[in-house]
Amino acid sequence: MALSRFTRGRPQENTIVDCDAPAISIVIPTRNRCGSLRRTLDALQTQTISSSAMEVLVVLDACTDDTPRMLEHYKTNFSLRSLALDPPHKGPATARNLGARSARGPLLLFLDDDVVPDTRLVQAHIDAHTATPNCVVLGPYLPVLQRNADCFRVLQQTWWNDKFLSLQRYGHRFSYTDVLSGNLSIQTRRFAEVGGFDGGFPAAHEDYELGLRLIQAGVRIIVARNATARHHEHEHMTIDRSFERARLEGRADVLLARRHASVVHTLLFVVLHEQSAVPHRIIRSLAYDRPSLGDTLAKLLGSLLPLLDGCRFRTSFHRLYKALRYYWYLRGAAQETGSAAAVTVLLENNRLRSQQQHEIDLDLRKGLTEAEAEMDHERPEAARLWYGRQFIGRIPFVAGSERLRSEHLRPILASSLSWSYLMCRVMEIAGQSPPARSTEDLFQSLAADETSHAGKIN
Amino acid sequence: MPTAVLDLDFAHLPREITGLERYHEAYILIRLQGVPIARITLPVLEGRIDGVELRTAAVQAGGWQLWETWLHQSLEWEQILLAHHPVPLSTIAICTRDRPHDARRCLEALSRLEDDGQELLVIDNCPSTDDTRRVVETFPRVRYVREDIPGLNVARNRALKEAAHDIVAFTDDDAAPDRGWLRALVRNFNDPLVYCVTGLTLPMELETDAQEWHERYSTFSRGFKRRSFERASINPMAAGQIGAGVNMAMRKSAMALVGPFDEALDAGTRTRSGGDSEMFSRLLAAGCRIVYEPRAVSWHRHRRSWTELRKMIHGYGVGVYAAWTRSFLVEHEWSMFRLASRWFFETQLPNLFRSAFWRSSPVHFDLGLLELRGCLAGPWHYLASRAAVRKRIR
Repeated sequence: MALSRFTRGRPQENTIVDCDAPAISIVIPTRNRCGSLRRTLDALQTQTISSSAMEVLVVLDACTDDTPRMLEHYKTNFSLRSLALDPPHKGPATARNLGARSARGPLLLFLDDDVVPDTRLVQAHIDAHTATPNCVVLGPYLPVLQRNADCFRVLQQTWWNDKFLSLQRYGHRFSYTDVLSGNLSIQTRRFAEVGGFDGGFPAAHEDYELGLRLIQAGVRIIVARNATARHHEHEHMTIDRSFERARLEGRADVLLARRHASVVHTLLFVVLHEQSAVPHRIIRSLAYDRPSLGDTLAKLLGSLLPLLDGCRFRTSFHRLYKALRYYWYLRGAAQETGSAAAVTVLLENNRLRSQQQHEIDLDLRKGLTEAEAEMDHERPEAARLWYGRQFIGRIPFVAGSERLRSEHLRPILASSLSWSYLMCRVMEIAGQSPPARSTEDLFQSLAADETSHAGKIN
Repeated sequence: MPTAVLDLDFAHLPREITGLERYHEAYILIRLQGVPIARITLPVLEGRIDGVELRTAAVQAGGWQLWETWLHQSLEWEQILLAHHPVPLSTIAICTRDRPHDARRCLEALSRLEDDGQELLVIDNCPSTDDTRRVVETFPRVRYVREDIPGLNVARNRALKEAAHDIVAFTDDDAAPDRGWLRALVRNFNDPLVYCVTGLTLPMELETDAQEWHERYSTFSRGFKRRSFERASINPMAAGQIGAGVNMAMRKSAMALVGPFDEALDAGTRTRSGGDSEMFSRLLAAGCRIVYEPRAVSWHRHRRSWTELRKMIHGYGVGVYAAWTRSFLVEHEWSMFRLASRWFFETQLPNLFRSAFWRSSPVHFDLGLLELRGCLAGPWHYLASRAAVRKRIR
């Protein structure tokens, strides 16, 4: 096979500024999904941005199918390079790092091989970086809805949909679990500075780990609404594969706990470890202490899932599926830790560390705009909210989440703290003379107060 | 005695309402700066409603909804959301058949909507005269499309095909949507999994007995709380409670996902109704989300005469069971048996029994019986209607 266009092994660091450098380097890790990869490349040919502004680096992770041949004959209008990792396969983290090292553009865009970009995607990523320098840009890659979707498919697509929906909500506080790498862009320099992906991770949650380091480094996370793509996950994700994936996630989460003690308590295996309900205990004891019995049982019960789906017993399907996913996840965690006792030790060690938090006090009586300005100025990790001398509530510290920004204030006042904030406003009116005698009076004076307040601002 | 229908905003509640001599009761929608909060019913004494009584009832009925809406307005929450999530483009489709007067009123209401670049489409279904076309010609922005095959679902399918935008808002010709109706409906489509949104439908007038019984017996109103439905939260077969076709919007792409409206169902065929809720069932079963949005207010003119009402209630009964028959035959939804039998034995029969012996029962015996008869006939009507559609296609 002619491999003239292939660069094997580690390429040299490119430090010289290249005059013909593309504006963006697109890195696609792939493993034995030739048709899927081809569709993604096809979609990159129809981008609104000029093809000379981008280069595409496909990293073959020990491919044994037709992918190398397909790439060799693939006709493109952009610069396409392939890099190959030798068997055994190393996982997407290593593949992406390799691609990133030989990228020539100042921006890196990671795409998965089952993600098909819409025509504006690349331009939208570049625009977002221009608007907010030094940030990570996430693009939504939404599930392709299927006709006659079964229970499993509906669960998957709802998860993906709601994930991207919550990221796009006004005032969303980004957490490391929001950093999904299927459609993500970052400055090449920044990526190198934080050290890239951790190659020690299995093919799961390596993106969360990178996300955590980025958030700790104070890098802003942005969602580019126009950088949409279609995620063809349904083509390869089956129930059994999702269990396999859950197992990998279990392993990855233990690695995360070891690397980053600060987020231990947000990890699912730790949360599950502290559950005392009987079903949880059974699942835990099977996963940690009797894996052979557990595996047999789980496989047996797993074979019931299609049956439940066929009979449209949707609730039973959901319950059983969730339980089995927990089991396989814990199995992965057990493989990595060895025993449930090891998890307890991990937690004990962690309990001794105390976390220094940057928390500030905000008085909302001075006006929301002032409070918002102070949040942007201070960027605290947590805040105590007051209305005069009345305490409204806290915006708590959340491990692995970004520091507070002004956008976070109003959504919290409109939802979780709405009751106490309202009460503070009411108390103020109620304390005035003459005191309100009924709810109606109270509401009237509150409404009147607001109009006079608005008048003052104008 | 008739009931007065009033639409009042909390910001300017009158000190006293007078001039209601013809009415013994008032049906009042309470809003706060345009946002619907609650519905109250108050007695009318000598043509008057006392302002204090009105205010008290409004605050009590509003409850948390009122306070929360006020709080959101003081946070300028709506403006923020509007700036952050743009309003998607949409097409409005009015499916009408030989009711030019209603169509005119509906079009007048629609021309008062906030302009978000929407397209307006009238589907004239199997008209016997040219009157509707002439009415439509007086509205320059409205596109007229004639569909000669009778059936509301045929007209809906045609509307989905003709629409220029992915989101299509449907209104019946006998309804008059509010100024903020469309915007409130279509904003929910910012969630890609939302395929259908229904709104709050209130009576335009309650002048006759038939209209009052319509409102009491089969109201379109589903409360003042926004709700989101998906397969995990509701049995797809119970989709009737989500809303009705009189006030709904859906994605054109739903056609590709779950297929078009079943042309053997709904008005204009033997099954008389059920086309909307059957579509909701299919969407839910496919994993889509349906939202009930009470801010999308539309006013429906209920049937004035008792004969029309009887016909309609019978039609509802037929439609519900016809739709379930379809779900079983085409979608193989076994759970429909459980639901149908439960509804029959736990709701309809006891209601009928009660109405036969208690005078103050909320169910009118005559209407209950009619609906039940309709239910029993539903499956056969569906089969006959399906055969008729097949014959037409051949």
